[in-house]
Amino acid sequence: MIKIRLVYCKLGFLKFISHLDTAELLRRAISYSGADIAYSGGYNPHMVLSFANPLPLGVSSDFELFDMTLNSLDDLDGLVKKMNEYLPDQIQIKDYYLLGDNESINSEFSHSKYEFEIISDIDLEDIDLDLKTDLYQNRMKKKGKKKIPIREDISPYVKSYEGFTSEDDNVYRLTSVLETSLEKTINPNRFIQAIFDKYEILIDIDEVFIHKSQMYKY
Amino acid sequence: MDKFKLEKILKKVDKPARYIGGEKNQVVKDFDSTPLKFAFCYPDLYEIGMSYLGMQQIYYLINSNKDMLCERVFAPWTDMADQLRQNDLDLYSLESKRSLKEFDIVGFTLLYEMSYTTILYMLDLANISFRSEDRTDEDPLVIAGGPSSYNPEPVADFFDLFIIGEAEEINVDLFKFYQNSIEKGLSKDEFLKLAGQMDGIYVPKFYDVTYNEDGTIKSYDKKYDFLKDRISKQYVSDFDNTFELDKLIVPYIETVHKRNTVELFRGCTQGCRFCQAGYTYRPVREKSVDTLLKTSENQLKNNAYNELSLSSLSSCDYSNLNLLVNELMDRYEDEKLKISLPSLRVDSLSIDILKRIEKVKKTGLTLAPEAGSQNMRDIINKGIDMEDYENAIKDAYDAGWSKIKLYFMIGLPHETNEDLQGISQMGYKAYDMFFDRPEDQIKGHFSLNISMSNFVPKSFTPFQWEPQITIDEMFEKIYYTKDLIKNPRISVSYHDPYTSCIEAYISRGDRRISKTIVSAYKNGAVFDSWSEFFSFETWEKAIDQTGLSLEFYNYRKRDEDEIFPWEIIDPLVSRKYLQKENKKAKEAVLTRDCRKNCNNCGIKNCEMIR
Repeated sequence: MIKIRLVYCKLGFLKFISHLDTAELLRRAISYSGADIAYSGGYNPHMVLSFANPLPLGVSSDFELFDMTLNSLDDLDGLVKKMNEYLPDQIQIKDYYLLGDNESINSEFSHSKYEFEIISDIDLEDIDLDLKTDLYQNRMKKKGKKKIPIREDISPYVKSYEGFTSEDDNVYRLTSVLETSLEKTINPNRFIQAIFDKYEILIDIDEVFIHKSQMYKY
Repeated sequence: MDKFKLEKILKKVDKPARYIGGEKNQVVKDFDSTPLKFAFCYPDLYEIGMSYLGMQQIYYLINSNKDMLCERVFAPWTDMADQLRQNDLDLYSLESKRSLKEFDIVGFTLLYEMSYTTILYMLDLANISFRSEDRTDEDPLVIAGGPSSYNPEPVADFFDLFIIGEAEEINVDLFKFYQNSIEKGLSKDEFLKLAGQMDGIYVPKFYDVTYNEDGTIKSYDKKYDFLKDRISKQYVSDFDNTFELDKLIVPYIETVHKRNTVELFRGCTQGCRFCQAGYTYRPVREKSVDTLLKTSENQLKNNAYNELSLSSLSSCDYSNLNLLVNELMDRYEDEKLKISLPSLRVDSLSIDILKRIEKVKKTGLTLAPEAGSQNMRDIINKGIDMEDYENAIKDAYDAGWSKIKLYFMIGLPHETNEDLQGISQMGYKAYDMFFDRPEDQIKGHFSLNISMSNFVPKSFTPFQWEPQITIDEMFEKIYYTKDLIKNPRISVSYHDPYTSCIEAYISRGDRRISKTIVSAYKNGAVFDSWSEFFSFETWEKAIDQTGLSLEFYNYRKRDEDEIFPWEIIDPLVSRKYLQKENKKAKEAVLTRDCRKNCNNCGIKNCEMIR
């Protein structure tokens, strides 16, 4: 068995394709490539693939990961080339490498770097941004069958940040490294909403462009 | 299209991937430099429309022409429609994200009467007037085609012209002709006068309808001598050498079907008397095994689906089905290809083929005996008997199926309680046959579903003269049948009688019905084929407002000589033949499959005889 890790991007309008549909697309690309992919046993055999944490819908990325297991391999470059031939321009495999044992995605990557682009009439550079304490997100938490609203401080999960900076009029940038591990995953939409809430910025978060550029291990 | 606005609203709607395009095998041409721009509009959701083979066919057919482009437009769900309106955006095409208004021709496919209000909704969202007379030369040409255009009259007010027959024969020529007319500077009216002389083109506004006092049609009068008296259906004669669909657009999201599809043949020779497609798609024309193998191979390569559907109105009637299936199994067995047959005959032969192609998983098996008694099956000309049925069921059980679904129709002409009792008897028969076997042979968990739909009389069928029963009568028949089935292992489901009533109302409507459709739309009707949207009250109100009653359109037995609104179209099957079939129905006399013997249905130079 040969394990391979692949890094792909998800750009443009294709950021609106859900995680499950993206996985299905990659499965079709693998079958198109003719890879000698390993199938699980059982009544309904399926390809042995494993994916990193799902990217939220509407967020673009240059760093999405999945692992695939092959029975045999002779030309990895050729295989990836075939997969990219099937895949659309906005979803392409950018990098790939052979894996050793016990190198699961979750053990190798714990944080993601997000870039936020915000169009604002008020000058966001004036804000003295402090995300080290008191950054509250609101979300619904499942409790039994019911869902209850909870408010929690997510500042401990903000590894680092930089911003707001502005190059153009009205266009502001913020970058931040957030925890996306098995223990805790911070949704970048809720993160930006938490900042807007804290500094009373009245911008619809749906107007914020969010892009994931990298993943790290800390 | 403002991409920033679009991104913002896509974050606010459910399943945004419906609205982005960009799929594998989509064709994007340079919008501004392509002379003729055609928007193919499907009046339902993306997930439904993307599974429609006809759309894929027209898409590649048009796009294979250098000077033309075809882009797709689907009905947005109401959350997306609200967002479009709030942000002042027009309904747009998936490929270039252009407003429908920027196209030269906007074409709708008419598949089902219950989609008609959704057509108005889509035109409205594009800010195009939905009445033909309200549009100017600045607006696109708005046209329609597809199976339901065999009665174009209920939607005659909305379209500048209809394409009658098969797209392969007409669309490209018509579009070229329109492009020339634009280049020559002809007005829309001047173009329509010329188009109205082409084969298979119906321009409704050039025909005046007069009515008798009782509301029936007195005559159709053409406004100009050079027009045709009736518009004959056009069809592809050499079906083995027509446009081949070598690839499909492969959606990113879950749609009704995700599979390669080849069309084995067009038409159907069974001659079931309730079935419109059985008459309007005649004559039967088959593709050769070689052509089908080649198309399958191309699609497998281009689409990367692992399922292949062998599609037709009655796939088991394909002359070389055995050969084709064997050949496909030989070639693709190792590649985990799943072959599926979308329509099955109720007989052992069909089960035998199905057994071979569904090797691993025996999922549910669906059979359509359509009627419960032999007499009723003879009336509707469903050429099967109890022996066929029992053999099919027995073979299915032997092969390992345990979940069966049976389709029946209720409210058929001349129906009695005995016919309904037959439905329950057939259900019990299937139940008994499953358990009356030695214990070691009983495999799987038995379940049987009996599904009943309500008879909707359709134009150009032998039953076009027949009344539909009332909604109350439908419920009576449904409950009568349901009450006969007391076995907890047999479940019964039925089609909503209210929907069937409105479907019948429109399906044999004349052009006055356009008003009812507009009223219903204005009262809020849209997505009428979705049960969560359909409201009978809305339609009832519209029918009251226009005074065009259900008594007249649904419940009335039509006179033998009555002129029908749809007879402005000539489907090539003669009225005399339909009349003869209607009489034979009354006497419960079967008409044999015309593969065996020509029944003289009226088609000239029939490909079956050649």
